[in-house]
Amino acid sequence: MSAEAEFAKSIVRLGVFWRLATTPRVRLWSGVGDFALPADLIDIEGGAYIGKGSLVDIPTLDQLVNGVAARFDFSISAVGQTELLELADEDAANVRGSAINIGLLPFDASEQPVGAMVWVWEGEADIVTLDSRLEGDRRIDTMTISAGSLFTGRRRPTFRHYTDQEQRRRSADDRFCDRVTLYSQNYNKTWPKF
Amino acid sequence: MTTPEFYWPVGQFTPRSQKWALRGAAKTGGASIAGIVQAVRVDGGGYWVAELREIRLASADQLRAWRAWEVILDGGATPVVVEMCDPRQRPDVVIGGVVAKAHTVPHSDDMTFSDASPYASVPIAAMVHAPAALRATTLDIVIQNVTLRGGEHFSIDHPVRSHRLYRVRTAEDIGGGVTRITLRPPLREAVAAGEPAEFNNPRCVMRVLDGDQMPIDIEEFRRATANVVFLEHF
Repeated sequence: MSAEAEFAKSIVRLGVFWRLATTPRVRLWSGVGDFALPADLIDIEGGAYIGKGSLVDIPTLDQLVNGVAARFDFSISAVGQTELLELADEDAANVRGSAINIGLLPFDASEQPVGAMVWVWEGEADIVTLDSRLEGDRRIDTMTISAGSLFTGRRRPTFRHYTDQEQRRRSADDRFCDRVTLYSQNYNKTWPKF
Repeated sequence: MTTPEFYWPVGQFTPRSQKWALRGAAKTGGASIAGIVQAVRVDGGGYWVAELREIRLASADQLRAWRAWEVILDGGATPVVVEMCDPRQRPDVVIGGVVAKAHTVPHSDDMTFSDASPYASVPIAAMVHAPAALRATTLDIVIQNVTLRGGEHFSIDHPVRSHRLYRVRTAEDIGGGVTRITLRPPLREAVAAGEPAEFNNPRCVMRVLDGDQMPIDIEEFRRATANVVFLEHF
């Protein structure tokens, strides 16, 4: 069965994989225990993804259009992650600019992967912050890795609306965005309409 | 990871009830218009949680031992090997059509030992028949004089991850003395052919949930009832 068919079922078993392309690579996944993955086009070396409850939260990921400088914060448990903590502490420059990839891999009824990894998102790691807060009488340590898109570090104003005017400012005789105005954006369709 | 130095003394701290469960996480997308709920599992098989309830500590020795264990386990910082004490549900060893229970097996000529006692227990001999990969959920094992039916527990002493507990999901005799089982959770580490599978006293490397687990309330300066929760350690 293909990965698409597995996602289309109503009960899906799924692993969320998170990779930070620093040296050494950091590979985490949402499940329990180690997960060995073969090399593919994104993770060209392949390797063992560690599952020991490190991945605390993955934010809602947007696909970036119109050159939006969005920023996403990944929460990672900051206890027992020696390699990551070293990265955050001493080697922050190494983290900045490293690619972060999020992948999904569906499992079949015997918890075996179906098809190849579906890499759904790629971003660029930016700042690593360590956070220690008190909840009740318990201290919770998390590490937040902030990831941005290509445009996050930009100092110039946005110049990236795919409108006819902007395209012609870039290239006067280019009619590529000629018909963009015919599209509607942010239009709410009410459903159902009784 | 090396095998932890300490084994939890379940014989000394006998719980009145115990619960061994595979805990995992499922997410749902909320109820839809039709009321049906979609679910997704993202844990890839879950992890073991053992709850040992109502451990009676009556003697001073037991209380002191418990207090020692409280500092040995260091609130979850020190992993420990926890044996699953579940002898009644262990699969039967059937030799010559007779269930060989403890204290019922004499020598082959029906003689007992010189103090008139027969063999005290009949260990289950099982080993992995074919190598299996990390996260495999199907395993071929050779197990002598035992018919597996599902629901049995066993553990494998992995070279890196040490003792890990597994539960038999389904079992099928594929001939040649080999039983093909499906299991949960998925194998924590690849296994080689010939590795022993421990059905007699399955065990798992665990740690206590947190520092609140071990402190005990002592009643009338002399006795206490303790509870403890262990989690699989990674």
